[in-house]
This record gives sequence, structure tokens and C-alpha cells, in this order.
Amino acid sequence: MATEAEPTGPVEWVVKWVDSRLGLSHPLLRPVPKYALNPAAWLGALTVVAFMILAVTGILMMLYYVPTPAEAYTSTSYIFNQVAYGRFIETVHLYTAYAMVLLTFAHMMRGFFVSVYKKPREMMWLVGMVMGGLVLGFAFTGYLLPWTVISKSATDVAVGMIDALPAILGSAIRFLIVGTGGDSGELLRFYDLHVVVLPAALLALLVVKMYMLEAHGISEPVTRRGRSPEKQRAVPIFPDVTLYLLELAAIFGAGMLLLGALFPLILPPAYTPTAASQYAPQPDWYFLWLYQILKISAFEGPAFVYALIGVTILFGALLILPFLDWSPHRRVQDRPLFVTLGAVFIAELTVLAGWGLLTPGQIVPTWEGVAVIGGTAFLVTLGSLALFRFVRSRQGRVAPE
Amino acid sequence: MRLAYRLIVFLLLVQATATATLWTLNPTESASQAVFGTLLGVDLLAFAMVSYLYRAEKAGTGFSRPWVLTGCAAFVVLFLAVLVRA
Repeated sequence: MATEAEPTGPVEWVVKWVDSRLGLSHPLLRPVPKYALNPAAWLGALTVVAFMILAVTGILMMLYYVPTPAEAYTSTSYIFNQVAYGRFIETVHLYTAYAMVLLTFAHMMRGFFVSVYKKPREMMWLVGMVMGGLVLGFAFTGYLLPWTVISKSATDVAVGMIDALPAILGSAIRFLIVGTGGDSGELLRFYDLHVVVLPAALLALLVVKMYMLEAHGISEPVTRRGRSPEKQRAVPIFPDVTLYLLELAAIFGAGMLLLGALFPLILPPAYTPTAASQYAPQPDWYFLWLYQILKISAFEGPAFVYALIGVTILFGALLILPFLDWSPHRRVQDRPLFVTLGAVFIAELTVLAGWGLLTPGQIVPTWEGVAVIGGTAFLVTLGSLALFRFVRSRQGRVAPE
Repeated sequence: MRLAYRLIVFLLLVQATATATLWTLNPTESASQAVFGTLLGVDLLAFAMVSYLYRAEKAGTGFSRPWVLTGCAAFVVLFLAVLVRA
């Protein structure tokens, strides 16, 4: 029977002892190819790290937070001003939540551009998209909990739109997120969703996605360098990949802590109907793009339903992307249509969010909305096609497909 | 002693110092909370650098000086942030 190599030093001895007792290098998880040891391939893992930080800071706040309209703001303010490191914990919770939304988006778009959703990973994409929706659900429900004038006003606008939906759908959604008890029922529902239902759903889907990742492995690289024998070499999960992930997590955590230290949160005033009348309701930045679309005058009043239908169709198409883009091509330069659509999508979200930030509460004339949205799409498409033409001319091809 | 291991020892000392200082802070003061966050960030960055140096030495590839210098620059930024907030 072959014997294992003896540890060469004290650190190696400790690593081997821990491994032998915990069975960490037992092949429960498949080794990771060396090409996958780059931060872009770990955006999903960093999203999970962000979730863990949110869970820890959220549990600490739960010790003091009271989910009733009379005490939500008071208890939040108490955490801010009286609890040891309370303000810092709240600040880190908020910034990490923002980071989680950004990381989820970056993870999705990275997968979009390197087409990880191709066969056999179609179901991973579907599950991932549902998880992305849950992350937005976290952001939406968490926003209300401090019961500040800004958060409550913005949530009232969103909840008010439910009444304009078709009867059965509107009633079902209203029951789910508002219940029947007015402000008390709404806050308690949002709190329950935020701390129990959504975390449970997200963790369940994470298990499913990780199972599929182990079944399919990490997607092959699209570049020639990534496919070299050196880059294909398998790297053991313990301790190499584990330490790599811990390094990324530590750098991310340090970044969140530094942000929390340098830019502490300022709590807005408490919600009262009088105070709310003096503020233009404004959602948080990740929903500004949707808010800006709804401010276009063509979608005023009941007509907002048409905007929601359009957005639903867009995200529906994104959900079933693996079944729309069924070509075997994975390289960016071989997929001009979908790469251009992806670039337009990012540009539109960015432009609409920035525009919404600069024009709080202002109704947008229809012609202006069409000009900005259409103009952005036109310019990005033009730039994308020009770039493809340039790349292909350098590669000696005749014309773009 | 190899440079990597000397750096590891130095980083472990930085971690120990930052951790010890954390316990001296007043947890309700706004400035102390900022210092707490910054020193905890120093701890995490030091851990990341120790882990990187260990992996690089174990693989036999040697560490990347630009990455180590970036980490050291991050320490300088963090300590300056501590001084500013304190």
C-alpha cells in the first residue's frame, strides 16, 4: 500500500491533521481547473459571501428591531445611537446589500457574455435567474423595515400599483406582501419575507445550483489561453481552492468594512403622512431604472400596466435565454446579436438609473423617453457593430454574420 | 528565512496588533466604530495576504510583487483612514 508523503513543516503538519480529521480533501467536491482561479469566475461565490455578512449583521439587528409601525423607526434609531457598534453594523448591512445586488448582476452578465447557459447548463441559468429575483425581493422588503419617510413613501408607490393589476393576480400579490392589516400587516409581512421566507428560498435554490455545478463542472473557457494544458490542470479543493475563496472573501469583507467606516449611514427622518407629503418618493438605486420608465407620461395612471408588461416580457426573455440562443457558439466575437443586446441592456439600465437619480418626482414627456431609450439603444448598437466589424477585419473575415 | 515567510511573520504581527487594539475601543462612539471597522478590515486583508503567500510558496511559483505591493498600499490607506477617523 502506498504511503502518503510526510509533511515538510509545522504548517503542512497542521493542514494534513485538519484534513485527515475533517475529510476535507475527500472527493466530495470535484477539483477546480486552474483556469477557474480568477475572480470573475467567483462572482457567484462572492454573492454568497455577501449573503453571509448580511445574515450575521441582520441577526445582530434582529436582537433589537421591533417590526411594528409604532416602534420600527424607534428601534432602528436605538440600534443607531445606543447599541454598541450599532450604527456601524447597520451601515455595513446596507452597503453589503448594495454589493450583493451588484454582484448578482455582474455574475449574471458575466455568464451572459461567456454564454455559460449553453447546453448542458440551461437549468443552472433558470435557477440563477430565480435567485436573482429573490435578491431583488430581499432589497425590496428590506428597504421598508426602518420605516423612514423615504422608504415608506417609495414602498407605498410600489404597493399601490398592485391595485391596478388584474383582480386575481393583484389580490394574490397583495395578500402575500401586505396581508389584510394595513400598515401593521404590511410591515410584519415584509419582515417575515425578509428574514424567513426569502432566505429559506434562496438557500434551497443555492443547494440546487451547487448540485448542478458539481454535476456539470465549471464551464470550459472560451479563450485559447484558458484551454492550454497548464490552465486545465486540476487544483485540489482543500487547501488550495478553499484558501483562494477565503482570500477573495476576506478582500471583499475588508472593502465592505472600510466603506462602512468611511461613509457611515445617516438615518432619514421617521415616516409620518405629513413628512411624506414633502418628499418626492424615490426607490433605491437598483429600482431607479424601472421608476424612470414609469415616470414617462405615456405610462401615467392605469397605463403603467403596459410598462410592467413590457418589463415582464424583457425579463421573461432573459429567463428563457438558453432556449432563444441555441447556437453552439460561445465566443463573444461569434455572437454579435446577443452580445449587442447585452450591451444595450446594461447601457439602458445605467442611463435610466442615472436619469432617474437626477430627476426625482418629475414626469418625463413621452417624446423625451423615446429619444433617450431609443437613442441609447441606437448608439450602443452602432458602437457594438463597429467593434465587431473592426475585430473581424483584423481576423481576416469578409463581413459580420 | 525566505522573504515570503518573513512577510508572513510581519503580517501576523500586524493582525495581532490590530486585533488587540480593537478591544481598547469605546463601542458607542462614532469615531471608535469607524476605527473598529478599519482595523477589522486590516485583519482581513492581512489574512488574505498570508493565505496568498502560503499558496504561492506551496505551489513553488513564488509570489507576485505587484500584488504584495498592492496589499501593502491598501494597509497604508487603511491606517491613514484610521488616523483621519480617530
